[in-house]
Amino acid sequence: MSEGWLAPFLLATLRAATPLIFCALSVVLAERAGVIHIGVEGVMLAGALAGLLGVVFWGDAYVGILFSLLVGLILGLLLALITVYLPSDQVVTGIVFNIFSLGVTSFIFRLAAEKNAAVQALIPVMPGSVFGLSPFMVLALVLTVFMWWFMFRTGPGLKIRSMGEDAHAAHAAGINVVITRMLILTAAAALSALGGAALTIGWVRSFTDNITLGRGFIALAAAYCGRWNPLLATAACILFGAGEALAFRAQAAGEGLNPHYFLMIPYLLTLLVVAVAGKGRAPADVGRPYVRR
Amino acid sequence: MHDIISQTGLSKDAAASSCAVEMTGISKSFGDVRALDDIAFSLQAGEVRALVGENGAGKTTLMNILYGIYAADEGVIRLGGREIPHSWSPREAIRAGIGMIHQHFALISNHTVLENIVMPLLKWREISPSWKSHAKRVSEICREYHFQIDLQSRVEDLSMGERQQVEIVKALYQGAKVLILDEPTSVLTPQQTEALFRFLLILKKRGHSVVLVTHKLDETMQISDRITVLRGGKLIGTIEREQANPQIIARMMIERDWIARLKVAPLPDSAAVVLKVRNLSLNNEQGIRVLDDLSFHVRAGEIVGVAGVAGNGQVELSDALVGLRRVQQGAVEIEGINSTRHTVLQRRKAGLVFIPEDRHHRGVVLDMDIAENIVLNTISEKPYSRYGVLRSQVITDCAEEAISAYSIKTPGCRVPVGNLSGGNQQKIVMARALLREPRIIIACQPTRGLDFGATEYVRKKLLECAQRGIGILLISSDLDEILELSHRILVMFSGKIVSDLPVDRVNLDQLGLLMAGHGRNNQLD
Amino acid sequence: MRKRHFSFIALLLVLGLFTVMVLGCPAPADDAVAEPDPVEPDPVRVGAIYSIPDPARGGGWDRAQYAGLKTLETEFGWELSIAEAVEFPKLAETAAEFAERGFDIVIFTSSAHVDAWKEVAPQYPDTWFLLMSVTETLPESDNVAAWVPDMYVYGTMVGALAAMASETGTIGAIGGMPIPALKLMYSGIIEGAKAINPDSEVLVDWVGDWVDVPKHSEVTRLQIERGADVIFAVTGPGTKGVLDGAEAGNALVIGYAADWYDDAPGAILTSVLVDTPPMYRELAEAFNAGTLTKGINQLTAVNFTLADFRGKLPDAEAQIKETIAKIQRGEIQIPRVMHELE
Repeated sequence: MSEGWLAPFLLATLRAATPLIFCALSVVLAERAGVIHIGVEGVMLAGALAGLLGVVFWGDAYVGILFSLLVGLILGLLLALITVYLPSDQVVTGIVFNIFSLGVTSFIFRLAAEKNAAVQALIPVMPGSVFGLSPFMVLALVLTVFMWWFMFRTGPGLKIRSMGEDAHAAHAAGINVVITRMLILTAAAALSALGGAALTIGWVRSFTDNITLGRGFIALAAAYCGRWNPLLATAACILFGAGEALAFRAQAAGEGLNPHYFLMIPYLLTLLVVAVAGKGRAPADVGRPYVRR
Repeated sequence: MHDIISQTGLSKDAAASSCAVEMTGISKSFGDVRALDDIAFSLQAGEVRALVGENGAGKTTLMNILYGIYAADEGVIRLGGREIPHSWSPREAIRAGIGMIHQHFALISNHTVLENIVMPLLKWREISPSWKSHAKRVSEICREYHFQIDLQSRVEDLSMGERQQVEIVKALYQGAKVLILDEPTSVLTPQQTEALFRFLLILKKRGHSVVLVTHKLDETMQISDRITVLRGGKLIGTIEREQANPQIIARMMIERDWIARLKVAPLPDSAAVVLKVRNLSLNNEQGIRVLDDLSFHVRAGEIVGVAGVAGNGQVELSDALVGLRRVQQGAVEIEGINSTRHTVLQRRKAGLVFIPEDRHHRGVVLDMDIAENIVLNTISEKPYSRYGVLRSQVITDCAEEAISAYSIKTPGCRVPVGNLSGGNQQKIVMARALLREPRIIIACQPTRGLDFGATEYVRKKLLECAQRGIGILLISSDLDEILELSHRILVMFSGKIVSDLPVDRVNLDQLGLLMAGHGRNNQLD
Repeated sequence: MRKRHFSFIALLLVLGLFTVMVLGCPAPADDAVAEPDPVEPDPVRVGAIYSIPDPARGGGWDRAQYAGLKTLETEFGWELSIAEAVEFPKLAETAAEFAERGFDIVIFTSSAHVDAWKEVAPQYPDTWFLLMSVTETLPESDNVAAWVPDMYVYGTMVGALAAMASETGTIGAIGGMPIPALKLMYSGIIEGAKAINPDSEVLVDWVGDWVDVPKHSEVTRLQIERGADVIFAVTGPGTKGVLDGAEAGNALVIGYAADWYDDAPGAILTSVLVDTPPMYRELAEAFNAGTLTKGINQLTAVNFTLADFRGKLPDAEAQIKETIAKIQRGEIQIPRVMHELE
């Protein structure tokens, strides 16, 4: 590697980490409140498309972000209705939702492409970007600290965590578990959608079918590795970003070796972190639907 | 304990004041089951009320309705004369001064004591709670009632007695005027129980009302001013303590007279040892020694009771004996054969069967039907299957037989076990254990959560087994049960056996002290 | 309660399956003719098979084929039915169904279709099975033909073009996966670039998949970091990442097979087109005349042409075009050298 490789390496790391951070934070938020957020992948994908369409049809990055947030809120409400209000199995619903989202986004993307060919082309670079870093990066780091403070230092944070640990105890303490979980999941989905927007608006400026390609699941793993602590989850996202950045640099440096070995780096790194992180203690009541008799 | 009783007695002034709580015409159904039927219940300020009844009588359900956890199908609740709004929830109940302490504590075990106590009071907009002033006020309450709890420790590190204190402080901190305690003594030692009752009397003196939900008659007589009896979801009546005695209450509860205590038959000296445990030690997942050098034996036809407060190694002991956990040291011999390294299946074939403590998770498969549950252990053996294929008719016949032999109340043998009551589920566990005549039964909390009738049935069955020459290790936190059934009593504390005495040489006070960790070693033979 | 949530899950499943079916199943393209035109007697019916969705906007090769296929419809009035996103295990089945339904010609569009091609063609001797991709052998029947691009020659033209356009002398070549056809093409790029500028360096990187847009973007950025200022990429939907990365790093991209200008007007220098319309015209005329015969038709330098530069590199444009023409005429000879490109 030549001189001055460090700065580009860090930039590449942060670029890859940013969308993951939003999604990992959304998983932390939802699961701290006791709802498994497998649907993060699907919401991220929908948010990615909504952001791009917002930019193409209304011509402004920030309108795109708002549109993405709106779609996230709507999908979050839908997920909340199914998994919290009804309630249905959270894992099954999440998986089905992801398949559903993949189909619907591909379909809408094609409809949009017929209406306006510009959705196929690159959208403008997001205003406020420096060195290939979008304002999303700053927002992600600010949100991380805010989320940590909110979760572990505030009254509402304590109430939310109580709900994730023991919904029945939280209810006995006077929290309306169903409504609150629905609101939290809706907010979390908006965050996931923002992760998608960070990918399309803030990074690659384009959309293809299934552009997220499992990044939502990696965020899920990051939340796990980070033991549902926003700071650690973000650290895990950055580590994965670094792994991805490293993979290509290693390929470039290591002439003659099969590139597939290097392309495995981020995944091996993730596995390693999961193994080393050991058995993180999940919020005790996560995944268990709350039913008031 | 007698001095406590002398302090009770409802002051006439308090009785004359307005009702703190008045519930009328309360009905509630869960699916097809009518849990409560037109119940009236009223409570005065400064009163200790016992709410008694068998399991499933509807005591807890009634209190859950008052506390807003369930919504009543019909009926009116008035607090201080004012009808409660339609949207009644724990939140409103707390605000109205009602505090409830459930049998299973509503504490977040991962959070600190202070967080648990303060959390219900926090408002959603309270971004930055003033923890210091909360801590100060909570400490004051603890001092006032002589509770010693470290506010910064995590609830998961506390004993059950301490957790109950946290629950009480939590309710008081929320301003509870009416305190509902659901089976509060089931996790306490006799000494802790006495302390709790002393505290309740202080509370009463300060004008609080207390509802004690219980099925233990002694407690009822000891502390309450009035006693309300429920049976099968119906109100049987409310009587003053002065007019009550255990026989009257028992008759109200169970529709028949107080049944004489069962008596275990004496054991012949020649009985052979069927289970021998030598120097057994076991570390748990965290590497903490939970069984420490245990040695004892069970003879044929002998019932050996293991007493102790829950969490002192009883679960680990039964797991180790059954083969669910690997021990670090020591040996387990079944009828003289060293079985320390044997699997669960090998031990079962050697004649050791298990009545597990956690009925729902280990005892029965709730979604499977009765017949399947009964043959679960022997399902791969003849005659229940042939060449690996189940023989449905044989299994059904076997189940029908068990249903009539154990008088299991069910519409048929192909009903999911989850639909049955706890007592009937336990009968299925027993039927399965006794399907092939065993040599040893490890029975863990065999009557926990069962109602009076079912409890008696299970105990009789165990005595029958002993008479047939089966050795029984009875692990129970119900001292009455242990005293009633056992030939010999072991007391476990902190993973050790601190006492091993024949039943005629122990007394209750001594047992209580041993269970609380006092006087260890000096009682050992 | 239980019943209600089961029915809800069922509903969700049905919804999910429905969308997957709508998008994932071999369905005729929107503009394909569903019913035969009653006025024209018996138009020739052509079924084309793609393994990617939305071939009109897919990777370069698929796009180029799509443009050619369209000429069959617009210029010859043939009936065209396109099955897209056909998974590999379903290829043979889909082709057989076209044949069963009486299609005259079935066209495979990828080298990954060769096995299915060889399996189905002998079973339906009355249908022509054509392959538009790299193959060295033909199925064992007479109703087959292939149009095979000489990837090496294509590569030399890209290499020469890139070497002339590059100021740094470093050229980036990005591939989805190291498949033989791409290794062949990229060897051509190295030799083509060397023929113009002996000091030129070609960076070859494999992304590891064809679809991950962000990864493609990062690989591109890394090549630019390492000095590349002209980038060429053959991959799938991930191409958008290459365009994004190149635009972010002010590098120029040479489009593969089809004209990519509209996808990224700022980044596309030009595209080296695989000129498919003439090839499809030749095919159609031969079929109509009954002279279509079994065999492999090589596509070579003359079939590869430059798209409009649209004002990029105005000073060098003329010279570049002249050099490319010389390669087509065989006036510049470039040796065939295979490079080990793992």
